[in-house]
Order: sequence, then C-alpha cells, then structure tokens
Amino acid sequence: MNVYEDLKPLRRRLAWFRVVVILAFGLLVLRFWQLQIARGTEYQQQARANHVRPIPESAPRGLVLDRQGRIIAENRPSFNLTLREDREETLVALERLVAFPEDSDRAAFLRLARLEPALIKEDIGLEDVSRVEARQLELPGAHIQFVPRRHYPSGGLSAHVVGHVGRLSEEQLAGEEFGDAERYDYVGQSGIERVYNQALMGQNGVQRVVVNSVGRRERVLEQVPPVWGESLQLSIDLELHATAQEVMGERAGAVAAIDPRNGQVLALASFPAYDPNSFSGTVDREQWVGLTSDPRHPLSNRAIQGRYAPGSTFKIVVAAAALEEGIVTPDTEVACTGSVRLYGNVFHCARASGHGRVDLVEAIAQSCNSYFFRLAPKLPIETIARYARLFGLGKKTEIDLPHEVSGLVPDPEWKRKARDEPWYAGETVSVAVGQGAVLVTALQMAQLAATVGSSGELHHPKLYLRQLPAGSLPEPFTDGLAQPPARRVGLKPETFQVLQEGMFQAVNGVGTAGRARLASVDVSGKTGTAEVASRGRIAESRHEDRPEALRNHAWFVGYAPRARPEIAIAVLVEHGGQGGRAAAPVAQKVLETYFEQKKRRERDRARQSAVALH
Amino acid sequence: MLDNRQWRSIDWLTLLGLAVVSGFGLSVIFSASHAGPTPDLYKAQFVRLLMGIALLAVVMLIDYHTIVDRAEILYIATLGLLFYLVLFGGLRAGTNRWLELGIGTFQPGEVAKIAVVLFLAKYLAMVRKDRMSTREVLTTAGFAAAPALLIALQPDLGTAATIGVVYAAMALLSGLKPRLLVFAALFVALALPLSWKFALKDYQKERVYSFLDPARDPKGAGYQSIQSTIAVGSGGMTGNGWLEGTQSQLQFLPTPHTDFIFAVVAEEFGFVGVTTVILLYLMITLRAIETARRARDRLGTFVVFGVLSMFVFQTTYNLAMVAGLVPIKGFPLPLMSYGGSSMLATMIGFGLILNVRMRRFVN
Repeated sequence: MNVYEDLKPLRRRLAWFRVVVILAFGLLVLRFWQLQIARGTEYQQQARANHVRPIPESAPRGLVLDRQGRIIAENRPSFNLTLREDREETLVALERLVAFPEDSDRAAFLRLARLEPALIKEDIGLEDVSRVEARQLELPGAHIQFVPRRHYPSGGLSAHVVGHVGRLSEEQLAGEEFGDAERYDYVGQSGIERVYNQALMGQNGVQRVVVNSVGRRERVLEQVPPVWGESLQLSIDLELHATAQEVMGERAGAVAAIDPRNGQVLALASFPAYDPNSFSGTVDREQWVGLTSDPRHPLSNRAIQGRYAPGSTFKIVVAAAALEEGIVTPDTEVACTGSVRLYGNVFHCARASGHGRVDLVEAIAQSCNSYFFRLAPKLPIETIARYARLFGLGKKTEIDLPHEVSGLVPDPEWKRKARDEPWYAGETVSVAVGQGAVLVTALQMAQLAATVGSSGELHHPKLYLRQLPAGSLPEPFTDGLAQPPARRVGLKPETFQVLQEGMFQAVNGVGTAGRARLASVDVSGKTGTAEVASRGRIAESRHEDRPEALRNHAWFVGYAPRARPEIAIAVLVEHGGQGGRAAAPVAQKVLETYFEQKKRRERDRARQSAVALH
Repeated sequence: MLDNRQWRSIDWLTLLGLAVVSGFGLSVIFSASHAGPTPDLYKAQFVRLLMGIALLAVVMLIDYHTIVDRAEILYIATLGLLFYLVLFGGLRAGTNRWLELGIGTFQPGEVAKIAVVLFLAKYLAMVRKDRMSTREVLTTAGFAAAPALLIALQPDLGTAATIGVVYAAMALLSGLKPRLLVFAALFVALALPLSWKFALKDYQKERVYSFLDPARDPKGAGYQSIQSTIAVGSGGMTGNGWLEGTQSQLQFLPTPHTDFIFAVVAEEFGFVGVTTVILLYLMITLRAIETARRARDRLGTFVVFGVLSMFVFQTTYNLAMVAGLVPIKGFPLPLMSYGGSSMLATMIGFGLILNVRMRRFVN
C-alpha cells in the first residue's frame, strides 16, 4: 500500500468539512441560547403549568347570627366532583360511575378542564364519593373537592333578611361587585349574604400539587389554608320572627320592628317565605321555576319591597301637619255624621253611623275619616307631602339590604310627570286618609312609629350589629343601646304629645287597636285599612264576601312602652281586612314575645348575679 | 504487536473525551430513569460502555489495513443478514430491525453502517484520480444503496438515510462534483410527493405534520416535540439541577433516557451544561478531522471520515431534533443515549479512528 498518494485534495476538503462542522455546532448553540436564555422564562412557565396544579379549597363563609347569638346561617360539608384535565376517557369512566346532571355538556367539560377544574356534579352523595375515590387510579384528572355549603338551620324564618347564596354568574364573574371571587364560588345573591358578602366570604385557600404526566399527584408543593369568613351578628331576633310566622300563618304580609333608640331592626319578616337552603345546593330547576312563578311571590321581601297604601296609619302624618301648620289645635272638634260631602263627592267614614263630636286625639284613636276629610281643604297636598317626607316616607330608609323601594309621596309635580294630569283637590281628600296615590313600605311605617314614639328621633334602620372574628363563640349582643339619631324630626313637643296620646288611646282607650293591648306594657298604635277596591259595590260589601284579591290590606303601626319606647312595629296583612282585626293581633303577639323575652332575660341575669354573690 | 511510537500515538485526549461524555451520559440516564419502572438502566448501560471500550481497544489494535482486507466479507455477510431480517425478522416495536441473539437483541443496522463505511473506504481509496468517473460514482452509490434499501424495508428510514448521508459525504471527499449531489437532491425532492403518496406510512406522515405544526395535535404526535422544547427552554442558564428536571422526572418528556436524553441535559444543566457537552462533541470531532488529515494514506482518511461523518450526522440531527429544528426521528445521541447497539457501534467506529491515528507514520 505504500504507493504514492496525493492526499492534498482530501486535506483541502477536510478543512472545508471542519468549517461546516463548526458552523453546525455553533448554530445549535445559538438555537439552545434562543430557547433557554431568550425565551427561558416563557418555557419555565409552561413547564410549571405542566406539573403544578392548583387545587382550590373553598373558604367557609362566616356565620350569620341573630342578636341573641342564634345561628341564622352556617355551613355543612359537601363534595363536588370535578375534572382537572381534559381526559375524555376519565369523563367516560366517571359517567359510568356517577349519574351526571341531565344538562351536562361533555364537550364543555373537556374544554374547560384544559384551563381550570371543571365542575361535573355538585353536592354528590357519600356513595358517589367513595365510588370515585376507590377508583382514583383509573380516573386520572377526576377529583373530589370538599366544599363547605351554606345551611340555614331556621329555614325560611329569616329568609328575606339573610338572603341566599348562589354560584357566580358569568356576568358577576366579569364584574366588579364580587372582587376576587372565583368561578364556582358561592357568593351572596340577595339579602345580607349579598350586602356583606365581602366580609362573610373569607379567602379561598389553595393547595399546589405536583402531578406527573398522567395526572397522578406526586407531592404537595405548597398549601395556603382557606381563611374563614368573619361572623356577622344581625340585630334581628329569630324568636320575634318565629312568633310573627306563627301568627301570620298562611297569610301574606310583612312585619317590621325596629328599636326607636338606635334604629336596630328587631324583626323584618315577609310572608310567604321560602327556604333559602334550596339555593345553596344544586338548584332544582322545577323548584326554581316554582319559586319565581308562584303568584304569591315568596321571593320578594314585602317589608321593604311591597308598596301599599298606608290607609289610616297615614293619619299620623296628616295630624302632625295640621297641628304644626296651626290648622287645628288639640281641642279642635269635628262632628262626624258618617260621611262628608266635598268637591261634589261623598266621602265615607269607616263608621257609617258617625263618631259624633271628636277631637284630634279621639279622631286618631277611633280613626275617624270625617275629621281628616275636613282637614283636606285647608291642607295643601304639598304640605302633606312635606310632612310625609319629614317622617321618612317617599324615600328609602337606607336599610342595609338591596332592592329597597322608596314608596311614593304624591304631589302635583309628581302627577304631572307621571300621569301628565293636574292635581285634583279631591285627591287630597283621599290622601288625607292614606288612600289615593300614596304608597309606603312596612319598614317605612315602623320607622315612622319609632319617630313618633321617640318624639322625633329618626334612625336609619340597620341590620348590621357587629362582626365577630371567625371562630368566636356566638353570644347575645348586649351593649350600645342608645345612638344619636340620623335626623331629628323637629316638631313641637305638643304635636308629639297629641299623636302619642291618640295612639295610646287607640290601643288602650276607645279605639280601633284594642287587639294590640298588652297587660304588662303600655302599647301605643294606629290601625289602618287600605282599600284595594275603592269604588262601587265591592267597597261596600263585607270583607268576607269579597274575592281575596279585592279584600283590603290590614295595617298596624305602633310602639311600646309608651314612656320610653324600645320597640316600634309595623304589621301589614295583605288582603287581611280591617287593621284592628287582622294586623293588631299580630303586632300584639310579637310585642308580647319581645317583652316576655326581655323579662326572662332580666330574670336570668338577676339569678346569675345572685349566684355570683353567694 | 505495537511499537513504541504507536503506543505513544494512542489518542488519549479523544479517549478521555469519549469517557467523559459517556460517563456523563450514564448520570443523565440515571436521572431520567431512576424514578420510573426501570431504575437500573444505568447499570446495563455501564456494562455496555465497558464492552464498548473493550471493543474499541480490540479494533484499535488490529491494523486497519488488515481489517479493510476483509471488508468484502463483512459487507456481503451484512447484506445477507439484512435479507434474512426482511424476510424472516420478528417484529419488535413495529419494525423488524432487531435481531434476537442468545444473549440479547442487536440491531444489524448498526453493524451495516460500519460495514458500508469500510467497504466504501476500501473502494474509494483505490480511486487514484481526484475526480470520480461516472462509473465509479454509480458503482459506489450502488454499494451504499443496496443495504440502505434493505434497511429502509424494515422499515428503518433513519438508518437508511444515515447510510445515504455517509455515502454522500464520502463521495464528496473523494471528489464527487457537488453539482451532482444537487441534482440528486433535486431528484429526491421530485420523488418526495410520490413517496408521500405511495410509500410513507401514516405514522411517518404524522411525524412530518407534527414537526411542521406541533400544536396541531398537542396530545398526540406533536406532544414529543412540544414537551422537548419546554424541557429545553425551562432549563435556563444553569438548569434545574441533577434529578430536578420536572419535565423528565414527572414523565412529561417522552423517552428521556434514549432519543431525548439531551433534553434532560438541557433541563437539568441548563445552557451551561448544553454548551459544555456540545463543545466536547466538537472537540472529539475536530480531533477526528485532524486524524483524517494526518492519515498515512487515502484508505485511512476515508475510514476516519466515513465513521466521523456518521457520528457528526447522528449527533447534529439528534441535537437539532431535541431543539425542535427537525422532525422527530428515532436517532439516538451517540455516546449518551441509552442503548447497546448504538454504544457498541460508536465505540467500534472510534476504535477505527484511533487505529488510523496510531498508524499515521509510515514505517
């Protein structure tokens, strides 16, 4: 082989080859630089997204308590079935184990699972839980999530106050109101649950787990425990609600009671009620449709959303206006003959035979229409409206609940705008006895009674008492009784004295509200019978003979004790007939419960301090 | 058997480079498989590495002229083996590229490559002119095409393509006009649509598709490419650390101990590790080019260059594949990937290179 060979051309080409090799390797290094340095962060995020799965842990909502520390809203354990990866085979296997809800969209599950855990079925039974857990290895991506679920132990007793929780809607998810709530979070959808949602909600925890490529959990990376929401103590007293519900029975209506010293709402009940528990699980479609289409509208809170003519309870306002404007004195008497002819119309008093000669106190106590009809020509509608507004009518009470309505205090300007008609003098006659266009809510009337009872202190009613740190023991609220009023209704003391005397006599003297009387406490009040049908045969027919929808609404507004009122109340019974017959007894029972409970509590306290002394 | 000068001419630097890269490969194989169902792979690979070094020594000690004298026998035996495989070979992993031996399995394709290199080197070394005649081109192309076709029938297009590339490289070195190669490439380009329609299997088409657009089917064929790129990119400058790569440890990366072992290197050792390993491969390559340039005769040059072009092609293709630059092909990374046949073939190849280097001085 030792033949002479010219190796030069080979060596020349090898030098070229060397250049090619260096270029190739250099190019590769450049490419790795691009992937690892230039775009490294991006790929690090992708790698993290690959293997780190956040598993949210729902924070239990804070408790809602009544003023005595009774539980209105708490949480019960429940389980949700979720899918955390878009694995069709897992979904198919799950479907064989667990009955899916009927409207399940499998494609949507898979699509969603690519981004975040998709909720397959809510509140599954323990049987389903164990069935899925036992096959966990065959079901990569399937996950049983522990979820605390809202529970209202007293059912519908305070449904309209506490409201209910529900899943965030898509709009709410995008909107601002619910801050950092996440998909599938339960948030307050109405009532207190909604108003104080932020405080009640707490903070979801998260467990970040490392999973491998088939979704099996390898280890827990970090754990942020959920933070309980704070407890919220409300001013309402469930015992009063229970009494109200008992007395109201099947009747529709509202009971509102507030403490005249501070505006704390002691009771705010609307009937018929609904069970808020039916919203905290999977809402049964049928149930939902049933609730929303029920002709009795159980979902609406009549105490703040129901607008009713105040009937004779409005005489308090008219009397105050007449006294303040100097149209009458406490001694001004009017002879009631059972009807009054004004502006060519005959206006009837409730008692066809007439009340005889009555002064203002008697007119309030016996609810004499004639007296107030006769005031109408001397009291311009604007003046009545001014005094009505002074007592807080015609605008929202600013209670801490959503969707309150403001009612209506009519005046010529309103009528021109709303109906494009001038105000007729005859209308003022109707308004003088609380009929016509004037509309109020039960809570507004309770506020009015409180203002009269306290001789002019007007408080905005409030449900919120205090927040308690999560986990603290429920206890009765005792401190902080008197509060400076939001506003003072600056009438003459004599005016209040007449109103108070009239209301006292209505209950305790010759009056329409005798059924509200209590043996141990001086109750004051005013009844009202708001006409639903005002003309013709129906108005003259007896209550029992009318179809229910045309029967009058029954009112009672009052307060007790007379000297230093602790509770002001308004009761409305829809189509209940006469206020004295239908509404006053409801108020009586609620007031009775209030004062009995108070006595019981004082006895207990005395006994405790006696024990402490020994 | 060896004289003093030959002893002194043993290329210790290359040997060291091979040992370092292979040893590092063992640790990466350990990292990529220790948590999986087969945690002991690194041990088996270590045994193969020792066997490879022994083979390297044996091949190095026998004068390459003596070896090349028997190239025809080796070549014909290889062809026979490939025929046998195509006709009777048992299927394994969808192909019949594996030969069951008493002591284990072996891929004759790896032997075939060495045989073809030796046979071509012998033939090309006999060409005395600086330009090959048409007849010579056609003959040598035929020598390469016969085993390549048989291997392609297995079907193992990767190995077949490797033989094609090695032939092209050796022919270029021997003076083939680059123009001819361009024509050949054009011909292949024209033939591609036809082969797409008639020859390519569905899984092969899928690989091309998924290379062109990995996001097309992220859970399917594009998965490997995406996961490999993520593994590489997430390594950053210094990597997650040994045994700490999430893509490999949590099995997002496919075949992390074989074809995608370099993705594990990139993930766990970062750009620093990647550059170091690439430089080591470059050093080994440049050293071999030196050997080819200094070879005593044409035969030596062609032997070294044939082995080397194979090594460089497989290495660069594998790295480019891991970096998402070329379609995924079942090429192992020489020296590092888990696998016996590749390790032994590579070591035999370097035995030949060192062989030529030791004997570069004319007695």
